[in-house]
Amino acid sequence: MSGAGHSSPTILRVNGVAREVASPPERLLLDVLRGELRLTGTKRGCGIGVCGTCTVLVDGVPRLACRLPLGEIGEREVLTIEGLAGHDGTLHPIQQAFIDAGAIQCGFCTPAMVLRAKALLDRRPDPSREEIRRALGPVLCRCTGYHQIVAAVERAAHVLVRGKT
Amino acid sequence: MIGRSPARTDAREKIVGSTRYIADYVVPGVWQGITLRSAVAAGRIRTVTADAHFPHGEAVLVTGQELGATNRVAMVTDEMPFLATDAVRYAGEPIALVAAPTLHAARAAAHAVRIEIDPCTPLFSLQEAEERRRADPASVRVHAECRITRGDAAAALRNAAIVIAGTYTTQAQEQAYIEPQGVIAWPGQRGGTVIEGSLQCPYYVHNALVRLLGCAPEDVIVRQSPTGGAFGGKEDIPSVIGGHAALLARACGHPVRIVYDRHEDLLFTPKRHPSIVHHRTGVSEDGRLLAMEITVVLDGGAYTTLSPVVLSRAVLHATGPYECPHVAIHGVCLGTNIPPPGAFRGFGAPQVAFAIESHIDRIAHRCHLRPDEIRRRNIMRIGSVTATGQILRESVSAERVLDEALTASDFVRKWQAHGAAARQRHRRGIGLALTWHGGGFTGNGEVNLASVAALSIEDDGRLLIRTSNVEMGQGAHTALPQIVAERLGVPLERIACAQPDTSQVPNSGPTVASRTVMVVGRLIERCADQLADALEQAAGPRAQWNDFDGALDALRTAGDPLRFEARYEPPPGIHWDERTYRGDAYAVYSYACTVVELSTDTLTGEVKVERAIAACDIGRAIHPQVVEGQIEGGVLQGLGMGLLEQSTTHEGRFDQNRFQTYIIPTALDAPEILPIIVEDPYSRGPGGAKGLGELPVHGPAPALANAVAQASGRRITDLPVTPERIVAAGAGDPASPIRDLPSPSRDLPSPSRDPASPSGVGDEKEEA
Ligand code: FES
Ligand code: FES
Repeated sequence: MSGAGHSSPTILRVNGVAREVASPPERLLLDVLRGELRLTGTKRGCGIGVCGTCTVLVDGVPRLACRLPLGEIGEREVLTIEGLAGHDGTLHPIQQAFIDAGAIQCGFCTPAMVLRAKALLDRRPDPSREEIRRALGPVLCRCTGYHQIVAAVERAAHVLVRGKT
Repeated sequence: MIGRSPARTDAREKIVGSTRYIADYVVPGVWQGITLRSAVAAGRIRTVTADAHFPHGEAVLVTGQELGATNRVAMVTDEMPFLATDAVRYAGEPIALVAAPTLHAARAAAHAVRIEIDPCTPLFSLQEAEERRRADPASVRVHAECRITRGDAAAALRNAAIVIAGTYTTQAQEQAYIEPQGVIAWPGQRGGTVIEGSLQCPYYVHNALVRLLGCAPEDVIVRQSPTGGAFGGKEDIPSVIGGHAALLARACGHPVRIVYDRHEDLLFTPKRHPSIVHHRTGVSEDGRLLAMEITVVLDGGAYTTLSPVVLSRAVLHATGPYECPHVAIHGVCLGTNIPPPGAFRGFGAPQVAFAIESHIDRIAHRCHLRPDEIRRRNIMRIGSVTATGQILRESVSAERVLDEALTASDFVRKWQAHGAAARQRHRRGIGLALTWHGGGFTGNGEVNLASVAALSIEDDGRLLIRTSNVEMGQGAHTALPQIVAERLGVPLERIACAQPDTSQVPNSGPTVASRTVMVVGRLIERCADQLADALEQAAGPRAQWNDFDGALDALRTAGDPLRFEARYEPPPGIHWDERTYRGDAYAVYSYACTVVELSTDTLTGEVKVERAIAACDIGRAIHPQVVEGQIEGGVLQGLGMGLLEQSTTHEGRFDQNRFQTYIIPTALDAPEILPIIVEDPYSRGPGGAKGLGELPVHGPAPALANAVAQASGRRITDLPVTPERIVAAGAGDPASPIRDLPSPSRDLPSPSRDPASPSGVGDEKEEA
């Protein structure tokens, strides 16, 4: 299956590290992350681009890893949930806000929700509730009713803005 | 510690992405298993064979033929086979299993398996089953049947001033846990197995696997893996998938993983039972319930599975929290050729809540009463008697939740204002529903389960709670430690819940029926009390201890046991007769009042839910933030059932096989949800707590239908309340008065999620 024998390895920049991967360029990023790199924080809720749980950030933009072939990524930087906390384990303020606001239940949608929130807040530090809902819209959550997740993003926005000023 | 909201014990791992769900496990040498299923809904299997291309040695095939008498899944009745061998009863029924080192190889091998079936005539819908049964009762299988009788409903109906009849239907609803079903089985010792998987009931799987493999109980070990949502959907089916994986592991000698893809999961795993509920109600002019005649018909699908217990809960909740002197309830669960329905949060109660709460609004309308007035006139209070003759003695808070919800929503004023508004295309409406939910297993269920829970002192000084009740997102493994912390006055950090593992934890029963905190939490509270007593024995009165560790040391030195167990004991004075359906059906009930505010466009049938309020009495909130999350999530599932989630079948196969067609609410669909916690303590619950998990799901769909009726003048009696149904009900007249409407046709076009629409799902456009 893997073309490792006859094609040269690809370099994938993920979570700040350039990693050599053996997967062929047509392999989906989700399978590369989960299967080859064991970055299993990126979830597979449907595999066909509907549930959003496979969301990663590619140069800061949310993308569905189950729809994205490895070869399309090129030099761009992939961020998964594993790359968000500091090396010393310090949580990113968005992660902390999710804990504080009770936004985590079963946790299966959580990595994708956090990354969508990060993409939003990087772009719009002070979003309206409507903008938050729009940003989270592509990720399905069956547990929370979304309210505590929206509240977590609002809380994170406050912390991040305050932290900067 | 009770009543506070510390960070959840599972939050840190989940937020950094290091929680390993079953699909994330790295298992060297694991093979992948797949299920070969029937293409027809009813038939007789002629052959199941591997042809010459089957790669023996590189793949294994398991059929039901090899299993003999053990080929039955242990459930309420041992009826459903792990693999069909003779009759096939639904499209998608498992017939054979294949495993190979990769999924790709397993699929290739599956192409070399020939399955031939002679089809016979299937039965696809409940409506059809009801008709056939009327013509010839013996022509339809009956999975379960029961009756509740109080007084003489027939006579009272004859004498009643007003009689109002109505029929209400609901469809199958998919749990739609976001983590799909999955299990890994390792070949075990002496013919046994080790199973790890996404599941709610470790001992159900254990029981089923011991029976299947014919081995000693200790040779089957079942462990729960972190579970990405379940909602009842991982109650019974993990026994089947676990059995499949174990059979394959035994055949190939490797660990075998089966993880369903979403398509398979949506099509073939159990859903909420479709229902038809008929009401005939006699009322006085001033709106007092005189007689209720209720028929609850559930579609039990191809096999009995959990249907008798679902039906039981349905009939026991069918009157709603209202007292009526004459009640006759008949419940029947019919067999059809759809995949067997199963457990989904509420377990029969949401279907009957939709019926009675829609019906009671119609009665109010007829009696010229407001929705809150009719309910208050008949509401259960302390001393009220239920249809089974149970006298409610404690924590009866129906009126309190009603009042809380009325106040928070400003219901009366808005209801009057919306009702008086001009009849135009866009109109707003407000509706309410009052619901109840019996905590724990029905009737003698808890007595029969005889759950045991344990609390042990570990070498590192931690207190370990040992139960078979799983964390599946609902917060159980945070709430249980809080109960112990409260009782012992020790910090939460030194208390943990063992990951459920049948070789490590006693059988404290399944994680279902809103029982974990109320029933098992109470056992754990009793364990904590035993530990406290033992510590005082060893270290003297608490006031004299230097600290908790000192007391623990004294206990250790005394050589006393370091493990404390408690077994379920029924509350005194509780009696239930399963045969006559008389007595105390549940030890206690939780109550909720849900209010939904929305606007409708009577031309397009579009409904925009603006706000939902749910006042829930759960006795005591152990962790208020978790409770709010449960209420919010439950309300949205109920609104999904009411508005969006459509399940239609074609030749016994669900049309909705992906999240593009099976629509669950997104963050954009979700309204503002206001949870209101009401605490009317229950003397036998830990810290006063009653059941919570299922309660919030019941009210939203009927509250929504009632609000739609107010806004549009159109009473929709079939769920979901789709735009098509609203339009059809109005027949082009946006100013039509409230009417009782026949069921619209069942083959409505399915809504679909357009990836390009704003609430659609897709990649965001990259910015230039
Ligand atoms: S896995 Fe569902 S969108 Fe990618
Ligand atoms: S927390 Fe379970 S799916 Fe979102």
